[in-house]
Amino acid sequence: MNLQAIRILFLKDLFLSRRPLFAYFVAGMAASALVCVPNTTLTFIGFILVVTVAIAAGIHLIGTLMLSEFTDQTRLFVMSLPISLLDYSIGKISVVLTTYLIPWTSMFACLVIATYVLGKPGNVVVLPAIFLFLLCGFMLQLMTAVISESVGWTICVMVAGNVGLNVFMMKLFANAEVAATIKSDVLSWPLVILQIISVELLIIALALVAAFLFQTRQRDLV
Amino acid sequence: MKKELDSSTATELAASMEGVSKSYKHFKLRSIDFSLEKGTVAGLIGPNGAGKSTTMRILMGLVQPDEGTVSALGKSISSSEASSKQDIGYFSDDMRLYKPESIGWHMQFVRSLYPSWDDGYAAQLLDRFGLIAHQIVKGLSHGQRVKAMLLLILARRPKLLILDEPTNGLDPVAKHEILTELMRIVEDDSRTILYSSHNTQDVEQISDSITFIDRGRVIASSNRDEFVERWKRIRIHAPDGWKTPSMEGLRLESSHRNLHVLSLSNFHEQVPNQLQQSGIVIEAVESMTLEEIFVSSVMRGREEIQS
Amino acid sequence: MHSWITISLGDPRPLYLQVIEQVKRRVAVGDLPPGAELPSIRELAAGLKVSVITIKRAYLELERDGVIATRQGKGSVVADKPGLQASIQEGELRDHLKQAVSLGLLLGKSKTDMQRRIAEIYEQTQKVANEKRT
Repeated sequence: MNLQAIRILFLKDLFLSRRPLFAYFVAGMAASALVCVPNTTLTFIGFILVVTVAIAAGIHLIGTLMLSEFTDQTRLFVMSLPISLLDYSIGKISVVLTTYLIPWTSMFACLVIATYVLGKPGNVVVLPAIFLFLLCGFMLQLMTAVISESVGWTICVMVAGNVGLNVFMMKLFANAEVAATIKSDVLSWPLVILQIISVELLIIALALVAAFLFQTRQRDLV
Repeated sequence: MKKELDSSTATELAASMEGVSKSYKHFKLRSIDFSLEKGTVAGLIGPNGAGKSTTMRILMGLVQPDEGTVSALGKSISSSEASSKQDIGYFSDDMRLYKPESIGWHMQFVRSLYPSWDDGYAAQLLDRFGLIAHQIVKGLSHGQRVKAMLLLILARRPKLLILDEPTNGLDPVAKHEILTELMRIVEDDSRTILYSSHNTQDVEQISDSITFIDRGRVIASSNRDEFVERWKRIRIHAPDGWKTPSMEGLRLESSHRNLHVLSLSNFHEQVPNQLQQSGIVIEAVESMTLEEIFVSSVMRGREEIQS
Repeated sequence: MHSWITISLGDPRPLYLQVIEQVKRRVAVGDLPPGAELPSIRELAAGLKVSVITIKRAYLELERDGVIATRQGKGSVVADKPGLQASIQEGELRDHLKQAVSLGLLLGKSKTDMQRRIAEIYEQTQKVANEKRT
């Protein structure tokens, strides 16, 4: 494992994705700001935009940093450099994850603040569940991209995730415990939320490990 | 693992492959034996899909063979090792650079990975190839793109160059510029070039050794002048019912009534007499171009497999 | 230095023979005087864009034929032999005649047949050359 090479690859991809990264960060901030406006409709629209930005950022970054290496044949160029598949995998997966987490974390943080600004602290409990769901979806897309090297399959997973998110949110808000917590002024974490978060973290870890193992197990670099 | 220094001839090998095989869904590379002497230019000629790219990728460690051993620059090559790639430069016709970035950006990127990068030489190459550092890759023509990629390889002075169809689709001027630069490398007898094409003209002039490859097998290996000296085309006039004698290396290329064209892969002075003894009249004995020799070799190879 | 040698792939003969022929030609007409230095094998190969093995073989044969001499570690020079020019010219002539005779033999011509032809062609060519002068 060559740390120097990994760092160079990481910075290279960060540089290459600077424009979409910046765009999504700014869009994410704008959408979060909209959520903070004390108008139910605008807050709702803002929230939808936040989710949209998160999903779009995910697929765009995976597309630009991973899938395009196949379609644009830059992978052959990169692999001809003195780096091992391990270096490449670590560099690639970590940069894709990092670039996604930049808008993701900032929106997550903004929305947590928004719940206090809007005077609805109880809503904070659903945010980890929803954001981690988005991150799950992203990790599954990443894993799919690594394994299938196919834009088609990755988009399928994205669409499934999107549909799944809506169903998930519907069921989440319908849950009695959750609904009660949202309305109350006292912050308490319902067990069901904690269970959901644990499962999501597990899926994220498994998807990450699967993607990494699959990538590094390849015998052919191209 | 076979030792690189063959004690009987003490020829140092820049690279070698022994019994290398690789299976893909629609293609198989079968037991390839190949050796590359240090300080030489080796040409690999084969039709499209013959296995040139696969062979070169295996040599570079980009693809792991199913069987066989590979070594280059004294090290065993495998796809899990990165260090060998430090001194080997690989180019493939289907390689691409990052379109939105400039040549200069790519130079900086590659430079950061190779301590052997020579800034002065890189600047010279920019000049010789007629490229400008701040040009964006997207706007480059095919020839310019190839030259840019070669610059990225040449500027770090690799000991072994593996070039997969570098002159494919290039105009004669670009070809000339690239060949001139490659031949400058030849002046250093510690550096070796392996260079493939599906076209004999691109390869025959500068190659010390030429290997023909077709359908995953090595068909023949020699140097240009030897090929041209050993192969002859013989035009004959034969009586009705005449059949091609089973002489080693003799093949019927074409017939028109009693006029036949034969090719012979191991011509020597007695051959015309031997043929005349079988009752034919020799109209002419001609040299064959390397391209004609190549096509005939490939046809023979395919017929051999079928029989 | 290399500009006076041209390699042509269109020429069906082996490349090393083309190099040999051209070096001999230069020596024969006096462009390369005895003792003149020849470029190193690799230099010439790079300059002409031909394989090193082609030049190696050419130099080897030129040395064997006494046209050049290779000094240990110091490269090759044109041999300092009296009558070298003349012997090269004679050699060239004999090569051409040998080719003609070989073809004749192949086509089944006898010695007298060949001699007759040579005489005929000699007279024809001389006549044309004389006409050009007047």
